[in-house]
Amino acid sequence: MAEFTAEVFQNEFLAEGATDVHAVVSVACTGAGTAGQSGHGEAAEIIIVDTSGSMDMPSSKIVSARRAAKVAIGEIVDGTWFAVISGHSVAQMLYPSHPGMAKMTDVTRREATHMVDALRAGGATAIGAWISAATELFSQVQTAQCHAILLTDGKIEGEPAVALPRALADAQGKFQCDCRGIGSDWVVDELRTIANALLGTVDIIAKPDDLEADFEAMMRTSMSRGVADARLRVWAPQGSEVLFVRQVAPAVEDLTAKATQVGPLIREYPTGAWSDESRDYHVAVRVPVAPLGNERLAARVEVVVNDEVVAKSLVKATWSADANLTTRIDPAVAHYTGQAQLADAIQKGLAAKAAGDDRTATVLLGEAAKIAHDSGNEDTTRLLAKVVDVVDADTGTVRLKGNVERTDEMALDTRSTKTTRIRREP
Amino acid sequence: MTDVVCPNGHHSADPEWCDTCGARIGGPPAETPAAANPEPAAATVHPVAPPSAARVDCPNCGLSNEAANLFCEQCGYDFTTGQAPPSSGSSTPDEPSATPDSTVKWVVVVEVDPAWFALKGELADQACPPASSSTVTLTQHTALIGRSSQSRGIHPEIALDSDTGVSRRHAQLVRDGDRLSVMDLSSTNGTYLVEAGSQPANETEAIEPGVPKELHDGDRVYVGAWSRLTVRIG
Repeated sequence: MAEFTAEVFQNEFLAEGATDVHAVVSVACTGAGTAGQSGHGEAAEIIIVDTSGSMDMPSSKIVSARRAAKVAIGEIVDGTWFAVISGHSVAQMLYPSHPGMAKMTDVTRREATHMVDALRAGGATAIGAWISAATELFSQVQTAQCHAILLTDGKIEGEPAVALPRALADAQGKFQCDCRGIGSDWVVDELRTIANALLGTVDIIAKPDDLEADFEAMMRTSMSRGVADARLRVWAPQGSEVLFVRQVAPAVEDLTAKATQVGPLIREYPTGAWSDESRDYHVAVRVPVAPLGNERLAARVEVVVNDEVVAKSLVKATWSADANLTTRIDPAVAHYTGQAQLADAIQKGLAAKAAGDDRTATVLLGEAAKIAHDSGNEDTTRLLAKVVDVVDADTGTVRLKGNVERTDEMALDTRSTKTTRIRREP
Repeated sequence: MTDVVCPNGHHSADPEWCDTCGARIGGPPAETPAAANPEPAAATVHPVAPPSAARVDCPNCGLSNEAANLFCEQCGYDFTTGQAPPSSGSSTPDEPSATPDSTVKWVVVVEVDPAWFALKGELADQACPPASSSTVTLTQHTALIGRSSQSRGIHPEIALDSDTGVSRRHAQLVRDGDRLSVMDLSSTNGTYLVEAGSQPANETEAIEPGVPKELHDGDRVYVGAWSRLTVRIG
């Protein structure tokens, strides 16, 4: 049986008249078990492989996509519902051949693996149609835990611009989707929009050869998610306003807009399926002012699984005249505020660079280099160094590089939201 | 529901923290005697109203208001957010209240920004003052940013009196429906606009005087030697 813990990091002291309470809630799950076998109903998986014409240029893309899909099928545990979609101008069912999804057994695994060899490239990219098809398939198996892997190499061009937002609105809350872009012709924003809406990850596969290992890891992670769906339930007092609820580790993901109001003072935020892992959330609440010396509960953050509270944490506010107490910023809050700024600076900086505004790009990427350096985010520092020459990381002085590989820029953009964890003092 | 009642008069199922306003119920009593008021934001320093009366005292000016009021009738204190009225002290009862045509409420957070001081500190004749923060709710169509002057009759809604790098009439915030913009009033040292998520830098240029620039939630306006104004949708 999975167990959850929730721990709060905050400075609860507010200066006179101050209203904003910030806290980092660290949620950890242990004993999650295996997807579909922990009493939360069956699991379902769909693999969507882009088979548009460009996947044949070079043909190493479609070849490694076939290999990767086979490896992923191998990772799906017996008893899981599954399907494989070949995505081009329409979503074509590759497996099973009958309508609906198939149950994973030795037989169906062999059949599906065999069918994957028949994946051929040709046609346009219509991701909206593929998402809609997955939503339809998942709705037929009536199970709580649905997950898809989406692989593409191009930007959407085979369908009207409204198709994707419509498909996402329909799919939201029904399944989670991890997105992977291969090569350098896909659009980071498109995949990020899909991953954000469907609580998944997004990453770039620069070299087709790396695809196999990535698919294997992705499917293995999905299969280890024994908790089908957990939600953050946030209570905030009357007259207060939840400024934002944001996942900040392992990656920045804003959940604020995904809230559902479940009571006059209570909102719930979806977090999707959980394996044995820990995630950190930054919660900011603007509360009504209380007189000096008053202590208030600013928020109650609970983890809810199957409508049952499995972990609880309290965010408090105490008004004090002692500046030593009120001016201190909790290290976790400060760290994650910086990581969110880092992601923002990179994304805006790259957008400015793409628009030809080198000056803004230099300032923003310089700021990013400084934050990444100061917070010890080595992965991001390494990715940044491929796009800019860091002159002085302490002051954030950088020079844009002249010849940047497109895939390096895209890797920096896609992984900008990955955060490092705060070094906790013992 | 249990019979636990919080210091503000709410019934609560949680015996420790009030289900409605979050006030501590058990445990050590607060330093300030908590008032028996039905509105959480109105935990008051003038406990005169009896608990049964549907009236609350304004924490800002002390006037007794009907509990259903969203704002204090005298000073405009916002009972919902607990935000102080603009330029408290100089406000008068006949001041026009929030414009009815707007659904969005803008607030301005005025803070000391050491990073801005690092760029513009030479405008000041003193060291960067310690961090401070105050919030102004925009209730009128325009709000002046500047420094107060009794002799010249200037009473800015957003008064940055201690920052001598700010002109008396420095800039103006203008609301048009739900939109908010800032316009520099030919100030001596200029007005600087930095979008949400960006940081000011040496290259940041002053906005053109007399031309309104639209502001969005989280944008920051920098003036003087250390003043940062963050506009937010309240």
